[in-house]
Formats: sequence, C-alpha cells, structure tokens
Amino acid sequence: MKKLFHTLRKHRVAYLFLLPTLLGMLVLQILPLAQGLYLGFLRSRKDKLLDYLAAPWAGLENYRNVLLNPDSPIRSGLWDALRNTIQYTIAVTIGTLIVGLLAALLVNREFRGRSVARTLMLFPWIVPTYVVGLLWGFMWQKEVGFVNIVLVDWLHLLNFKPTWLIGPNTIWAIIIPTVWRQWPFSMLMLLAGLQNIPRDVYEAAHIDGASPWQSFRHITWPLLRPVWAILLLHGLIFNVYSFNIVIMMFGNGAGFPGKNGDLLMTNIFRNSFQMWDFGSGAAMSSLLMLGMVTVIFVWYRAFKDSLSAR
Amino acid sequence: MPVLSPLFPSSKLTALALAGAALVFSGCQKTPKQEAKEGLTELKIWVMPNTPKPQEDMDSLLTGFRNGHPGVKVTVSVLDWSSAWTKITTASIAGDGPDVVQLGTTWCSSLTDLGALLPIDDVAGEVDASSVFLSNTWEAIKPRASEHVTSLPWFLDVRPMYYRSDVFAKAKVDPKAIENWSDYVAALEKIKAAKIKHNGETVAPVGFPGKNDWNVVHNFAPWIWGTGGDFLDPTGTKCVLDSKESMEGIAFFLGLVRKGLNPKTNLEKNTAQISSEFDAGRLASLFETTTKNIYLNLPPEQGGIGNSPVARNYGVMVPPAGPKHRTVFMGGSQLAIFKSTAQPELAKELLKYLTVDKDQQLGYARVSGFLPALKTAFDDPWFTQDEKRAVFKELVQFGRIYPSVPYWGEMETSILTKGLGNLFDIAAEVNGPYSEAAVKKEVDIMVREINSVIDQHFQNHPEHRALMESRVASVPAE
Repeated sequence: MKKLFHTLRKHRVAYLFLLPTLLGMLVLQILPLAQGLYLGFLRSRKDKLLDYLAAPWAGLENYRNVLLNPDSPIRSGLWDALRNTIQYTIAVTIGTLIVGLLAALLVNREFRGRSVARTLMLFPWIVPTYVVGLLWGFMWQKEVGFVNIVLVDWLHLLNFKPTWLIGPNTIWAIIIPTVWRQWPFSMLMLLAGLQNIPRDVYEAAHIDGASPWQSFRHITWPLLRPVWAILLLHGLIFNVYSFNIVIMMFGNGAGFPGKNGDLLMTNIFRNSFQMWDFGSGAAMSSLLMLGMVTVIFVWYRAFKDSLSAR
Repeated sequence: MPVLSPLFPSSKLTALALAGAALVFSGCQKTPKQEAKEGLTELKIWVMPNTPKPQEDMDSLLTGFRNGHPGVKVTVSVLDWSSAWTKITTASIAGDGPDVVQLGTTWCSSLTDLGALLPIDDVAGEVDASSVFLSNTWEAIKPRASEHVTSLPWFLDVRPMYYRSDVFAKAKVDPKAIENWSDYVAALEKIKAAKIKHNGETVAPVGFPGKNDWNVVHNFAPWIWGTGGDFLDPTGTKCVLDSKESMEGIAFFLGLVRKGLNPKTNLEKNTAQISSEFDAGRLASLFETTTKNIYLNLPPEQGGIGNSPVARNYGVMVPPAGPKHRTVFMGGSQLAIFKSTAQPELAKELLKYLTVDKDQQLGYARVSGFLPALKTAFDDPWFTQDEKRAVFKELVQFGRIYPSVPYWGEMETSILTKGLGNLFDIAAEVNGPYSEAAVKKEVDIMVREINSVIDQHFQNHPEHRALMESRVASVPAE
C-alpha cells in the first residue's frame, strides 16, 4: 500500500492528465456496462419499465429462462442463431482478410491508374448498410436476381437457379454482402502494412533465389502479422455483433431471416426487446459478452507477441 | 468604396431586408407564451402517414374543427409507422405525449395496460358507439383486460381480392362463381393450366408474400378463421393454434404454395414487391388493402398506375367463404386520448369530430382509401354508386379484428410472425420434403411460447384473468 501511494505521488501529474479519460470511461463505459449486467438480474418487463433499475429482483431467473427453460420464448431459436453466428463470423472475418489481402497485394504494385483503382476499391465500404441490404435483397432473388442471372444465364456455372433468401443458402446471402462491404477496410489496413515492409528485404530474398510464393510466405505474411492480427480481432468482435445487414435484408417482418440465417443479435433483439423482456435481453447480452471476453482472451494469448514493440 | 454584389446591394438594404424577414417570421411562428397571451389553447395530435400527403390532408380534414373552435390551435405531427410504436410508448412512459393519438388496432390494449390512455366511456356513451360504429370494430375499442373504453375507431383496413378480369376471362373463370374455397382453388388451377402470358411472362394465379414481410400473420388469419380455427380461445387466455380447425386452415393456405398456385418465388418477396408483381401484370389475383384501389386509379404523374393495362382490367370481390366462416382480416386505426392531456374535454371534442362526423369519415376515406368505421358513411352514394366500392361495403361486414388482449403485440411481432414464417419454409420444401408433422411441430412451438407469454402476463396481473374470462369474444357477422 505504501508503495502504491509512493507511485501515485511520484507520477501525480501523469495521473492528473489521465483523470479526464478515466472519468469519461467511467461515465460512458463502466456505468452503462454495470447497469446492463445488473438489469440481467431484474424482472424488467413492460409493466415495470418506469422502475428501470428498481424493478423487482429476479435472481438467476432470466439466465435460467435463457439457458434451461425449453418453454421460454426468450430462448426460441437461440441455438440456431448461435450456430449461424459462429459460421457467419468465421466466414466473414476470414473472407474479408483474404479478399482484402489479395486486393492490397494488387494495388501495392506499380501500374498506371493505381490511385484511381485504390479509390474505386473503397466504394463498397462507403455504401451505407441500408443500401447494401436492400440491394442484395433484390440481387439474391431466385428468378430475377442478378446473382442467379450471372451464375446460370451468363456463366452457365449452374444448371438450375438456387434459392438464396429462404432455406439453407440464407446464411450465404448474408455472409457474401458483408464480405463485399467490409473487404476494403482490410485492404486499406493491409496496404498500409505492406508499405511499411522495406523493399530491400524482398530484394535480398530475390537474390537468394526465393520464389514469389516463398517471399510472401516468409516475408509478407509474417511481417503483416500485427496488422492481420488486429483485423482478426476487429472482425471477430464486429461480426459477432452484426445486426444491420439482417435487419436491412429481412427486416420487413419480425427481422427474422429463418432458422438458417438468424444471428445472435437479431435473436436477442426479437426475443427480448420485441417481447418487452429487458431483463432477459440484458441476461442474453451479458452471456454473449462473457463469450466474447473468452474469445478475446484466447486471441490475446495467441497474438500478444505480435503486439509488443520490437 | 466596397464592391457590392447584386445580391447585396447595400448594407442598409440588407439590414432592412433582415428586419423585414424577422418581422414576417415572428408573425408566422408564435411562441407558446405568445399563444397563451392571445388565449390560444394548443391541442396536439399524432398521426401516421395514412395518405399520400399526410400533413396537408390532416390539415384539410381539421378545417371544420378549427372553424368551430377559433381559440384552439391544433398541431398535427406525422410519425413514421416504423418508429411510431416506440415514440408512443416512450411518450406514454414519460407522460409527455400528445392529447390525441392514432393507434394501430392491436396497440390499444397494450397502451391501456400501461395505463397511458384516458378512459372515454362517457364519449362512447354520448355518441352511442355500440350503434354508430360497425359491430366488428368493438373488439378494439374496449380492451379485454380493461373495464373501460379507451379508443374509438377511426378507419378500417380490410382486404378484398383484386383480380385481373382479362386473365380470368382468358382462363374461362367467372369470378362471380367463386363462392367458397373449393371454387377458389378450382379457379386458380384453371388459370395455372391456361399458362397465360403477359409481356412474355407467365401470369401466376395468386401472390402472397413469404416470411420477410409485415403481413405474415394478417395473411394467415383469414384461412385459420375460415375453418373455424383461431389464435386464442374465446376468452383470449389460451392459445388454440394447434386445434384441428386451425391446423386445417394453415394446411389450406400452405397448400396454395405446394400446389404451385402461389409460386415459391413469391415467398422471397414482401407485400410491396408482390403488389408490384400485380401491377406489372405477373399475377392474376391478389389480396390487398382497399388503398390499392386508389393507386390503381391514380394517374402516373401522381404516383399511381391509372390507365395501365392492369388498371384497365381489374375487378374486386369479397374473398371466398371458408368451410365454417367467410372472414377477412380487419386492421386499421383507433383514436385515443393520452391520460397526460391538459385539455381532456377539447380532446374528446376532436375525437368525436374525427370519428362520428360522417363528412369527416368520408373525407378521410376518400383521400386515404381506407374504409370508415361509421355505419352511416357506407350509405353515401360514394359507396353505393361505385361498383368496386360497393364490394367494399359488402366486404367490411366480414372483417375481423384480432383479440384485444394486452399481450397481442408480443405474440404477433415476435412469436407468430417468426413461427408462421417458418411454415413457408416447410411449404417451399427448402429443408426437406413437406410433412404435416413438421408443420405441427412448428405450431406446437408457437403454442408453447404464446402460452408462456400469457402465463407470464397473468403472473404479473392475476386480476386480468377473471376479467377476461368473464368476457366472450365478439363474433363477426356471418
């Protein structure tokens, strides 16, 4: 304790400068988070809305309803949504990384019109999610949708028109537009990373007889590790909490894309907040947050070396 | 000497212009203090965009009221449908809502349950609501879990069957001969077999949207009711969607998909897209609200498709009768008064003006395309002397409103829209062959979840059960 006070006194100016940030974090992050966690233990329903945090104490009832009560509408379709979210998150995160990396490698080369190409490639990223959802909603239609016209009528890759917006393909109808929208961000980050790799490393490898693939594998990929590690973390967090794309594409009814397309966030929104059961909604969100803390912990263990300054 | 642009001839003139503009604007926009000083009382009303020009149409509708109440300033706010529910409930919780508010038919019960609405039994008694309004609208005005009337019906959303008279004629189908569901299916089969083309594309017999739609429950309801089935038992305290009759209705409706009468590609679409399919000539029939009739007659420069090939060749009819009932979905809107109003008597005057004044009811029906709730409005030549609107007059007696139970919102929005939507996937066979067992399994899940919501409600409001069990659901006219 004496040591702590000594450190505080020694660095008091530094701590003083940190104080506004700490206060901001307390008000904007810690307090709402604590309220959310506390709400998960309350019976906060339609008739108790005015009470807010003074709603009756429910103990673990909300958590029991979410995890164990088969009759509870709150947990309806939860496992489908969990399965889809895992599939969606992995596919979108890896998909955006791969497409972004390929595009970054392409526009990192010298060619005429490179600046224009780089700017045009950012286009999907600046399209609002609302437009993306609406646009792809039309493009996926079985008979008149652009995707099937390209796949079947133009390229003859398939001899039948698949159904995308209902049934098992629904998850791909959500994954592909998300990758389409997010890859420019990955490209931008990876391009910045690529430009930080010294040219002489590649030249040395070339003199030593390294093939382009060996250069990529032993130079580009490892030296880009800090960038793609951050992109991986960002992708995992951002995609697990995906909500807009589903609501924009399937939000005309209950925002339910079917068992094959429902995600955790849309499930929580529908099953708790449309049901006016804020306590259960908070409990579900807390559980999801706990899951994400575990994911981040695993990520940190795997990549902490890449983050430290060399 | 400074160079002045022609737009700013001199600083003195600019100052004069600004002062003039300030005077003009201060004359137009009075502050609440100024209004109070002049003895003006403000009455706020929130409505949704029910007409193409909601603000102007409401202002025009309110002219008579304003003339009759010179000391009252009526302020109209138009809320978007998508955000209206949130805004209204937030206002009801915060206690700062408007004086008068438009509510969807199924919202009244939830808001009454929240204690947001002013009981208006006196108004209902004074206007003799049980005589002047269509009997099938009563369900909505007095919620089952309340002993008070808390709203009055404003307009009705009832859904006739629109059909392409030219397509029916080519397929040798007489719409007048379609009396019941068997006739209906036979007619659709004939249209399908005729393979009639419109601009090179085959015309589908009928179009219903799938699960990605706000009308999923409304589209299922008439078929469930037609076989004598229902969502809830007559007291509204138990889900009966798994009854033999309800299951028959569900199976019939899904059968339209399975028989290819409602093509599976329609299930990817929503109501607006299906409606466009009809406008484009790709559907032979459609069940849509009466506002469609206005759109089909509106010239293109005003946003309609009047005089198009479809608009020149369409008819409307009362949907066919089911084995037990001829019933159509009836929605629409109510008008209610917020409990927080500072002018309850004035608000009641406004409510009466909009709901029981025949001219206002007809006036709003003319611009919105929805139907009035006032019985006498249907005796007007506007309904009796127009072939299509005469069908609407007949249709409205078959309308049925959902039970006004306090938990209907949760049931419809979350459980039924999702569960019934899943049935479309089963009918479309996207996850495997169709089976009655799969349908039953999905219905059982809905029943379990709905009963759980009901039980939860009665745990919090045990007094509601006795009250609801003492009231029997109003049965629509046969």
